[in-house]
Amino acid sequence: MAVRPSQTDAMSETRTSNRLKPSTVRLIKQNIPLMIMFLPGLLFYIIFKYAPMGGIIIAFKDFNLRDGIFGSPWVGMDNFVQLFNQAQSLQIIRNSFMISILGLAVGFPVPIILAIMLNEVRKLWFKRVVQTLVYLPHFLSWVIVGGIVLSLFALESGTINRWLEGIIGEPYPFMYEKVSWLIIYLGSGVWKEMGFAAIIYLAALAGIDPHLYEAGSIDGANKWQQMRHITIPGISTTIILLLILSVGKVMDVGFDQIYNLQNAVVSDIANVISLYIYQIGILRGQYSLTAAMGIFENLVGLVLILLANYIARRFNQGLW
Amino acid sequence: MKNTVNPWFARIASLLLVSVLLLAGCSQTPAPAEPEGGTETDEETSVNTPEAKKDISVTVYDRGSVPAAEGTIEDNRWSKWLNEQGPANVKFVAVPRFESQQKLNVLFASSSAPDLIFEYAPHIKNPLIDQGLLMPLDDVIEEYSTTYKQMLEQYPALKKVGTKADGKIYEFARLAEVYPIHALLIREDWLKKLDLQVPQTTEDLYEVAKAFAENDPDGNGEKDTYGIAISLQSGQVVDQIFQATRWVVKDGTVTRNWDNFTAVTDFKKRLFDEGIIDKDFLNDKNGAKAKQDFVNGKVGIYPLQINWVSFAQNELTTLKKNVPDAVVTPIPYPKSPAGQFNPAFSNPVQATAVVNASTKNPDAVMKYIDFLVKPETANTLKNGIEGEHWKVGASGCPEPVSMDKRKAEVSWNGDFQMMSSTILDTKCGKLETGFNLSDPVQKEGFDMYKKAMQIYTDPSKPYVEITHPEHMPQLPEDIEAISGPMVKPIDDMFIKGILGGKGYTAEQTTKDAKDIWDKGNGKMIEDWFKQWYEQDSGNAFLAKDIYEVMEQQQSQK
Repeated sequence: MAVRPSQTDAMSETRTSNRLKPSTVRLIKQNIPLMIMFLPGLLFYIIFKYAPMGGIIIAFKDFNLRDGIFGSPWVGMDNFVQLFNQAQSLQIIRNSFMISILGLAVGFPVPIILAIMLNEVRKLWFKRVVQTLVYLPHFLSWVIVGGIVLSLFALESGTINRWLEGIIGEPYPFMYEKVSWLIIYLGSGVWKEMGFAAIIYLAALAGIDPHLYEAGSIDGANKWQQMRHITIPGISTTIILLLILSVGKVMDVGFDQIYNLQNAVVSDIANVISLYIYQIGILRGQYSLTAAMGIFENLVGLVLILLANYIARRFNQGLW
Repeated sequence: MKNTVNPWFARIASLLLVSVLLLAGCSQTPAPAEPEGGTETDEETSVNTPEAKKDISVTVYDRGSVPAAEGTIEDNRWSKWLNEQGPANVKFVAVPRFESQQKLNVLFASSSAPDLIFEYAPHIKNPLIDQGLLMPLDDVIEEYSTTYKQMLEQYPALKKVGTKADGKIYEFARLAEVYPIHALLIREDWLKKLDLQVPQTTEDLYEVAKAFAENDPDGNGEKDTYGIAISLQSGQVVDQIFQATRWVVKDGTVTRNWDNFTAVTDFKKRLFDEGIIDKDFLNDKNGAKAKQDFVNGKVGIYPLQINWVSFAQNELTTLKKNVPDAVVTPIPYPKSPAGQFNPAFSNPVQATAVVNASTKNPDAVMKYIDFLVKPETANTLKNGIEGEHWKVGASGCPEPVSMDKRKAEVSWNGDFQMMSSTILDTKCGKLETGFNLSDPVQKEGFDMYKKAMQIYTDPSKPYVEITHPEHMPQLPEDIEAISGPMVKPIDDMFIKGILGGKGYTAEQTTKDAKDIWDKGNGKMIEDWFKQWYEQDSGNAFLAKDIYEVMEQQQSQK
């Protein structure tokens, strides 16, 4: 970048004065084009990301359409009190936690393993074919994946139950038993996203200096030892970065997946915050109540992300 | 790398880019220009009306069914016709049919809601009334209306339906024919083949369904038929046979109904456990699979929500193509432990339109409504232009000149007809005139409809529900906050009961559902309903009012 050197110039010319230093003024002048180019991005974030956050005040109001966001009367913490007095709220929060944590535990290591395995593949064409095949499902919508899952596991028309009937003579209600449903839920999530999530690890793997492997093999390290002492430490920063980010989303079970896979029989474990917000907020118009739920969800997310970063910092791997 | 681009060029380029982006953003804001200002004067001279037409905006449902050659739902031959012939300059605003709740909420939230809003669903309109977003119409009708005012005097039910809790009229309503919108259809040829009787009780219904599933009624040597369908709407019809509806009137008061849910859950559970129904019925979220099975001749008993004319044109025609000797007939609802009932009826007095409280020209809105309720307007919208789309047929009623032309140019305009009271045309306005009797399958559909009218609109049998769902009272906000979150858990509980296997009985299911209800403070909802029934139900349009209209209409024949 052409502007970089001038920055160091400005540093060396440090002078104390109350006004803007001439060097700073020059710096600003020089960078006007860049700043103007930065402006749309800044505006985008202010208008579409920060300004709408003001809307969360409806969680503390009795929101109605006529008075709008600002005109509706304040009700303090009433919405939160009502929310936590509802019998099902605790169950919903517990379900969201459980499903996410299980999803994280199952889904997080898979792309790493996949990326390392792909990295070890010697035949380039094979690597390419596999990589394309595993990341294709990412581009299918959950409506389609949900349809595939249903037609695989349905009781009467499901492919798998057809086989089972031939072998043991009886179908198994995969979608209606809690444990098998949960496995299918987690499995479909892993299947859909593992390939795409592996890309970022593959990029990190490409950044590891090949000399390290050379040195390792000269010193007699076998494949496993190379993997443990070179590959994994090499991508550990990426792993921790992504882990912190996904810990922040622990309360946030994506709507599409659970909406398309849930059914009434497993609602005891499948009823999560995003479904609740859809059913009560959007369909029944209780905006304030569900905004309160949204705030709660995000507060927990924030606490978790701070916590994860705090722990990571203990190991000198913190994000900030 | 050194930046080789001329800095001035970069500056100007980025400035240009930014200004283009900003301009693009600005031009999105709607300009409050006067629409069709020019045509206004033209109309004035050509139609020769004494006063200038005023501008109003009106919603219209968008079902995506307007043929491409005809334009869009907002701008097409009928929107133009309404503007030319009508008393106002109407700007149509499309509302997606199945997202009308979101769309209307957004329009009101951004204070850009149209003047006149056409909407069926009370759960969308009532909250708007509660929030003061809609206009009380008593004065408007008194001051500006002619035709609609006359109708109100002639048919007081219109006023009853349009009047809300505060005693003011908020809704415009229309009159419609009473006919069954649910039906229980059975394959008569299968009954004959297996030598079975028409089921009289719900226990018979189970036996017949079981025989249909197990005794190979289609004679292909395979056990591939279902006795009955219970996905989505079909399941709701079965619920109604058992009167498994939330609120029932018992001993002069409203109570929350549980026993009938036990009965229907037990019934469906047996169907499921014994493989009489499609075991994947829960995946059939819109009933499409059940319909497909029915038209392929794989279902013996088909409870459904039915549009009689379109059923004859589509499902019945396809079934006859697939299974030429299939005979389908409606049968009376069998006697359940709770009694024997008529099916759900169409709403004879239906509120369809409301007015935005902040409308500028209520007089123009009123005149437009007056124009829409006129029989001539209703007739033209329904049949098209005389000579061009229809001529008087042998029966003395309009007959299409060309079926294709009708389909291409007229048949999609139903959503402009939401103020049409077609039943007022006693000769040609009835549903039965919609069948094309020269087509043998449609003739069969017509005979089914006639039979259904006879067996289903029997005044000696009670109506299943307290009233048509559109006339059920709106819960006040605090009660809704208790009721809303419990709807799904309780519904889910009964589905669990059906699929729960031998270990989970219907009685236990009801007990668990009741438990949710009690824990969720359901008592308060019950108290509210009781109070409503005792104090305010006199003003409501109840089942007895529906029966009254029904008998009145039947005596007119």
